[in-house]
Amino acid sequence: MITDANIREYLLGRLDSDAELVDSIDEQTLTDPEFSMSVDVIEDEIIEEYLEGSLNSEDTRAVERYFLRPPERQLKLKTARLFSRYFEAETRNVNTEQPAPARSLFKAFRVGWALPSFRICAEIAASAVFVISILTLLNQRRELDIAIKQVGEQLSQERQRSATSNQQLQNALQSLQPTVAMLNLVRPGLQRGKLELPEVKVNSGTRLLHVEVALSSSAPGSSRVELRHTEKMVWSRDGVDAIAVPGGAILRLDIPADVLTQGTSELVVKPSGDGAISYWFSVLKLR
Amino acid sequence: MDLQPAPEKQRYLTPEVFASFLLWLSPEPARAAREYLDIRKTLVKFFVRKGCTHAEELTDRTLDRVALIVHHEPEKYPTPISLCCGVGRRVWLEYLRESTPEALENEDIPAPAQPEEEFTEDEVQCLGNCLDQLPARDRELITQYHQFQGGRKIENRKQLAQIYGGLNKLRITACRIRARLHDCISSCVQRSALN
Repeated sequence: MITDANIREYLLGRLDSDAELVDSIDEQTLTDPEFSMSVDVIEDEIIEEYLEGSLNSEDTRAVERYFLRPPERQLKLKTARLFSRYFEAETRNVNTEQPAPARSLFKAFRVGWALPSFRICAEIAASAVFVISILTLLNQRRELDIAIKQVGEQLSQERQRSATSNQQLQNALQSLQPTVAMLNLVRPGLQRGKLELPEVKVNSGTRLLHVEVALSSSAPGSSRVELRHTEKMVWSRDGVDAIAVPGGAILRLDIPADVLTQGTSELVVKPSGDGAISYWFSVLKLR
Repeated sequence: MDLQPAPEKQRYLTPEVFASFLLWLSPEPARAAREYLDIRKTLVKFFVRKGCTHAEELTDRTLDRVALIVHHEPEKYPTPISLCCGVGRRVWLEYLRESTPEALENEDIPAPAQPEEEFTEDEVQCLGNCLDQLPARDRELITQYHQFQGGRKIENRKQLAQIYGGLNKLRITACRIRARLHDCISSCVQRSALN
């Protein structure tokens, strides 16, 4: 029965090479994989204890003068020292007094998988910026709509006030306008040359057109008067008396404004017993 | 069992002898190659465990001799490893007789060259890469296994032993993981050096 202690002595070169125990261990290391693994385990533990400094002086001397002779074991020692440094650092990390969340975060960063990658962080940030921008734009749009609506309401009110004011102004203008327009007709017939026809301006407030016609004849009597527009009679009156004045007579009459039409009109005076006399004038209707 | 080749027979390794050795290991070439490499690895480890500074050289010497023996008497040795074991031990004893140094006072024996304390960036990088290549459970185990020192380490391993099926199983599992890491780091460092 080969014990761990026997194997340890074998590995440290403290067994006689001619001993039966050495032959047995040699044979088993070559033919029995499980036994060979046990030898590997003990070999690793010798290296570990050597690195820790936990071997006694005799074992340490055996390690340095026999065990570490083969270059393969020196390489193994070097690798073990690399492990040792790494795992010591791990132990220090575990023992470091840090608040638990911070330690977890540190570990997560070190391992490099617990936190999302930079690209994912950037995508999240970009998405957040995009959403915030959209919300800001929607808010600005909403505020703009409200402002437009308010301005529209103000404009509507202004228009209403303006319309009211305009109506009031029109009414005032009408009240200020004379209700009777005046027209003097002196020369009968159509005018030639550059002479213009007499013109009368009427507006919506004009109710009557007072016409005074200068007659060359001073013979008293009444006359028939007709108002024509485009040769159609639109108004007439019989028994209009002429008033004698020096050098002739004056015929005074009032014509309702609503029969007046824009353009040239003809006033025909038909004294009794004489021929008709026409006087031409133009009407300008103002709004 | 005569492990020495007869004087009148072929005494040196030739391609023909080596081919017959591989055929003896297995009629299938790929399997024969694997067998050869496994035997070679086992022999190197055998000589290293015996504190030999020339394990590779003694392994080659052993295999050359085995190949010659098998070339002449292929039917005589049914299992390769038994033959290799016998020849290897004889080669080792011969080596001891060849290289027995004169007795020195203890104080005069130099300690073997110690590995450099500082590690290169490549070595540290390789360790990180090799740890990353391990399955998560193995990485967790080996990290926990090597935490702490002294009494705290012993307590830690007892607790781990309860999780991983006993102390012996834990030791073997950790040893296998270390062996994989060692091979991985060695290969990685060699590749880095070539690049």
